[in-house]
Amino acid sequence: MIPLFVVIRWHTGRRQLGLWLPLFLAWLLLLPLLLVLLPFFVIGCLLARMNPWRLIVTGWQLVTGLRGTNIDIQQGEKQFQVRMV
Amino acid sequence: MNEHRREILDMLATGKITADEADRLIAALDKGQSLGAVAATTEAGAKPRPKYLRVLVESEDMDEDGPVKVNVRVPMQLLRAGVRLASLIPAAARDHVNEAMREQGMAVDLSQIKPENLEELIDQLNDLTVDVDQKSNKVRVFCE
Repeated sequence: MIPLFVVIRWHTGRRQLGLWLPLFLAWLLLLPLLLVLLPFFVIGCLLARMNPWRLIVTGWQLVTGLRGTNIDIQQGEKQFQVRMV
Repeated sequence: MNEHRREILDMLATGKITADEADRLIAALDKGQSLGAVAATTEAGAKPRPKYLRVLVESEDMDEDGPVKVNVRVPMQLLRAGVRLASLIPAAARDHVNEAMREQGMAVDLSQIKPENLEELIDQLNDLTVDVDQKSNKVRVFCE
């Protein structure tokens, strides 16, 4: 399943910032754009002698694979977290 | 009906063994098959496929902000998709990429990374643990 949210937390010791970014809205907004660009993408793939269907499937697997990615970086009181949910 | 059971019944039919002996042989055959099935199930159950690749880095090189800790969790599915993407690179572009990587000191041939080998590699990653423990730096890579 594609990631629906990105949770970003940023502690700088003095300040604390937390963001919940609704990725599902981004996917919904991108979908019409992707549909418009699809014919150009297919033509480009055929010119580059690449299988467009395999590229689309692999791209989809890349996007769905992002779900569950966590990155935590901590230095002293500073902390930066990214979670793909 | 499997081959061994057929042989036992043939021996019974030709009078080489008695009915009691045939019964004991079939029971032993069933027991052996069920033990094999349990062993296979146990082996499969004991080694679940890894779902994430974890990288933990702790650096205690003190600067004004203190030690650095990095904790990264990457889903295996992302790695699989990345390898599949590498296999889709056209041959001409792949040669350029291989050349560029060789210039940077990485003698890796992207054409050798194939999706069918990837699943076997990921199965073996289940037992992979890399521990680097230096004076002020610790790196740990493992699958879970």
